Amino acid sequence: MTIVFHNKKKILKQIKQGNEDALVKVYTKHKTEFINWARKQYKLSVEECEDVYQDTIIAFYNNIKNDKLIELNSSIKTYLFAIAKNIAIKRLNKSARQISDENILIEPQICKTEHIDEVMVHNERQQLIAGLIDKLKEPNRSILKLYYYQNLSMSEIAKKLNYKNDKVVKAQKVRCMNELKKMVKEMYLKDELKG
Amino acid sequence: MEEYKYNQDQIDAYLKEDDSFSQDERNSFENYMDTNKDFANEVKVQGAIISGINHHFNQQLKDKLKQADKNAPKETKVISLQNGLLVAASISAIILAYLFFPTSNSSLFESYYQTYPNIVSPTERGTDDVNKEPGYQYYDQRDYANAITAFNSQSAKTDASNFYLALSYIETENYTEAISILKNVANGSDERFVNPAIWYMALCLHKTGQKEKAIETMNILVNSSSSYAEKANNFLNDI
Repeated sequence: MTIVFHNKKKILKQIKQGNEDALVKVYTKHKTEFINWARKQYKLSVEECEDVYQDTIIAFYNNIKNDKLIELNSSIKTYLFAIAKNIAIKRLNKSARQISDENILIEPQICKTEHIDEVMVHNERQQLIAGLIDKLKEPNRSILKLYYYQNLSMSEIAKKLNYKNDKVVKAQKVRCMNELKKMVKEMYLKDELKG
Repeated sequence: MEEYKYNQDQIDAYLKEDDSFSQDERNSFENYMDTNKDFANEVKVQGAIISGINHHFNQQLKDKLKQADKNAPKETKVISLQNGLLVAASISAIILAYLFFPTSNSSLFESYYQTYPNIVSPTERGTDDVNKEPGYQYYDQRDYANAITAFNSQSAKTDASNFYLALSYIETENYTEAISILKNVANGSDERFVNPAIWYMALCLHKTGQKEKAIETMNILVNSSSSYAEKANNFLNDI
């Protein structure tokens, strides 16, 4: 049991540090079992199950990096299935499908305590702005990713990207944001945002 | 930015829902937004941008997961090696190969080389590639000769485009050209490609018979905390 706990802690730490390969390993490890379970439980197609599972992994990752998940009392699999259940139900409610409530694998109370990120709420504006990120040059894109997405501190970013100190990164980050703001304004988004 | 009561750090703390920003501070911040329209708009724009950034990188991560699915059959092979009998058989095969055949640069390269996914602008189902830079389009289509031409003629060269240019050279078996480009990427500032560039450079060095340099390069990864450390260690053991 101790070994399992240690591994779990290690995995969460690796993911927190931005090790996406560790996340991919978690994804691969439980995927088949999840697809089989979700197909039976929610009568979803394989493609739909895969989509739900991928969004689950992203929600899991976001919870770790945003410190909403620091320690796990359950297994990673149980946690993932709890998130997935909520995502699947949300989708089913949307499409008003019939679901079977038989053979529920996880305790419903687990779902209540876990924060489900709002990653699934993709609006048009978000997608338009997301499209601008690819237009940014390096190291601007990496700085924004590390600061806003991975939630690293300025000192951590300075170390990672070999900057002299955090002040230099901070100044560079302000320039990146200004560049993005300019691009957003050029996309006629500002008027919409004002509204 | 105009002079407001709150500075950029505080705007970030508010938007990132940082714990350092207490509930009282959040309330005061929001009250100030109610009284200052320009400030409220500034926060709104920045909030939308952060939301877009998160969406972009979440999507990138999702593409990586999809890519992992595509590579799954190869991984199955590795998992099956965990079976005791197969391990024993593999060890015997390796010993036999070691005794009777010299280590082949090519076979080692083949067993470790995997085409790297396009993580810069991956192709998604149901979307067109109109806005994607041509180099990445060709790379996704496995048309590496045209990818090389496109990446080379790209006006704004980045570590990312150079990395995929080098990979296209590897795919067309021009390892020397790939090595010289990968060296620059490994020393570049785009941290996403530093370790992958070192990994592919080491593979190419070994493939072109530069065994000592390959070992030296692989050792950089072995001594790092990167996800390549274990793979690099296995590679060195195989040499």
